[in-house]
Amino acid sequence: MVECAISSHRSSLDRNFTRFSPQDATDEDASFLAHPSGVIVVILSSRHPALAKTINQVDFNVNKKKHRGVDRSQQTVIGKGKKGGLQLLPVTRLCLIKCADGSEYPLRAGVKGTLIEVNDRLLTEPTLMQTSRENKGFIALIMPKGNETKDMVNESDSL
Amino acid sequence: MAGMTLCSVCERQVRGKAKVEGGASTSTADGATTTAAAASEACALCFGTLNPQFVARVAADVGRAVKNDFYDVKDFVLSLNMPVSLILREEIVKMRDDLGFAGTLASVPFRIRAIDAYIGALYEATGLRPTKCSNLNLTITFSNDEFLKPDCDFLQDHFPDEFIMPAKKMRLAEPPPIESLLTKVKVLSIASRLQADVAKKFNFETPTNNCVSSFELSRDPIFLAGRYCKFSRNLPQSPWTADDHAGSGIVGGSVSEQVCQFLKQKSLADVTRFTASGREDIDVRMLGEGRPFAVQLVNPRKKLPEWSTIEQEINRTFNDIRVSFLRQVTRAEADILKIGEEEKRKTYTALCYSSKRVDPAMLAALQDKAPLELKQKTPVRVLKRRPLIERPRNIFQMHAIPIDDHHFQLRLTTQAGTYVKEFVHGDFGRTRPSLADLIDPESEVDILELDVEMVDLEWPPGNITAQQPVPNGLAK
Repeated sequence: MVECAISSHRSSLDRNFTRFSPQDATDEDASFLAHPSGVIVVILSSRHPALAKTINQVDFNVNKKKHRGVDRSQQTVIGKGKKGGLQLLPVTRLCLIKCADGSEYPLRAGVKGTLIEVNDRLLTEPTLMQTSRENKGFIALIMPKGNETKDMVNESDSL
Repeated sequence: MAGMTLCSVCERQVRGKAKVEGGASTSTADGATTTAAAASEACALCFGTLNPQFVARVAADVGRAVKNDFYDVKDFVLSLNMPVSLILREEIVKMRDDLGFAGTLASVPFRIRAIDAYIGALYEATGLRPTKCSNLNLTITFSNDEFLKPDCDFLQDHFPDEFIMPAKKMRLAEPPPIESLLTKVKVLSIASRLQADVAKKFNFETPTNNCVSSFELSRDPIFLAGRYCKFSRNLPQSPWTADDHAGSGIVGGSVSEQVCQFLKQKSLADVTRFTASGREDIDVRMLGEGRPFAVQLVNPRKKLPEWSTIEQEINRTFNDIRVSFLRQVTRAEADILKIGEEEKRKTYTALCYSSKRVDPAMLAALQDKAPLELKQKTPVRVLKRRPLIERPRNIFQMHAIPIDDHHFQLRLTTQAGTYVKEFVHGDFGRTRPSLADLIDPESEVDILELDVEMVDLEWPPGNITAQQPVPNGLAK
């Protein structure tokens, strides 16, 4: 194995995922890592203002004050069809990012689909979102409704 | 009591009288009359299946089929399926003593008389020797539905409880007719309850149509076992499904398809089925002695030449596949592949990358961290078609060798079902602990290449030169 051109290897991420961002996305929106099978990994956009600050907490219980809404970190999905997952619209909020300076940023799903999993590690280590944005600091996994990525901006092309 | 029309064969064998041409009738001692039929050989007992002309025609059909096919067998086993109505009549005849059947073969089961009638003709037509034990099976089916309804009515009158349609079937848009319940099994189960008085009420109508005959030639399946190696990083093990990998890479065939196609052509089988002990991804090589696999050849025409010859030819034909230890096994042995999947162990080598500089001391320390247990959530790359669960898996041994500042080679032995790629790169932190967690949590570790070195299974069964489980230390 040693003889191959080691330096020419791309990372697992680049080999297996395509980077997308939603149409008309702002800096405060999510970015996506899309797998060819359909599953989407939601991560923080590289231009997000929270990256420059210190993230104190990632709160998945987004509508506490109004006593509505679901704590996304408490959901369970069953079976291949991921039954029980929260149905998302692009405007649905996944979480609230609370920074040390008091600012709060709601994070919208940005895509229509089913929420499969949220990154529970963010509950205890919220700064992972900054230090490992594309790896351990991912936000959530979503199964999109249809061929959602065709309407998105392919960030990989511009790299 | 109406008489029963019999053909000349049954007259002779069962009634014990030579058949009289023309319309003469004879009476037997107890008064039942028998009627000699007109020129046709219609028979209420055998339905005309024992008629020599009928037999010859069926045999000729079989003979043609055998000549047009390519079986390299010299013998065959004969099975006959008779119409349900005929079986019913045989059972009824057994319970009656008023028919005056005094022939030498009156108490011989119909099945035996039938086989006896066909054996000779089939041997002459096909040149194959009929035996009790052969690879080749000839099954001839005779069907005649003429009496399905009257027979069913008769039995339903006397055994109504046997003809209740199951509720599930009644709920269908078109429930099946009652006659569909009249099967051979049903007749035989009723027969045990059949009494002489009921049997006497049965009317032996003479069939107006000949039986319809069909037959099937089938050779016992051949099971082959062996181990395969895959040297390409762009070759899937099983057929590619569009669902998994929309538009990624061009691939021609798969290991299973190529091996099966080759064996199918050599043996002229109808169908081939490939099973293996696990599988590897398209970009993972299978090295070492290879992964155990089995191929089932369904209805093969030709016995294959010597296994080593086949092996050599396969290996010459395909650059990226190597087959070894090829030999024939029984069906039971082939089933071993699927048993106890969880307990099997696999050994891998992985080419790994670390974003921070590799610390040789940390790599050396890895060895002592095994054995350890992982918790792996269903990897993102398979999450589309699998449920989201967390599975515990064991790593039994690990050994890492530095290559340069940012690369090292990891050799590990894991429990079957472990996602090795996800253990190395962590799968977004969803496999815990990951290799990075064990070496340097600050670093990001990635897997660049993966090879399977050993699949731990004694295969083919009973072969002492193929894999034995390794108790201590790493195999090389």
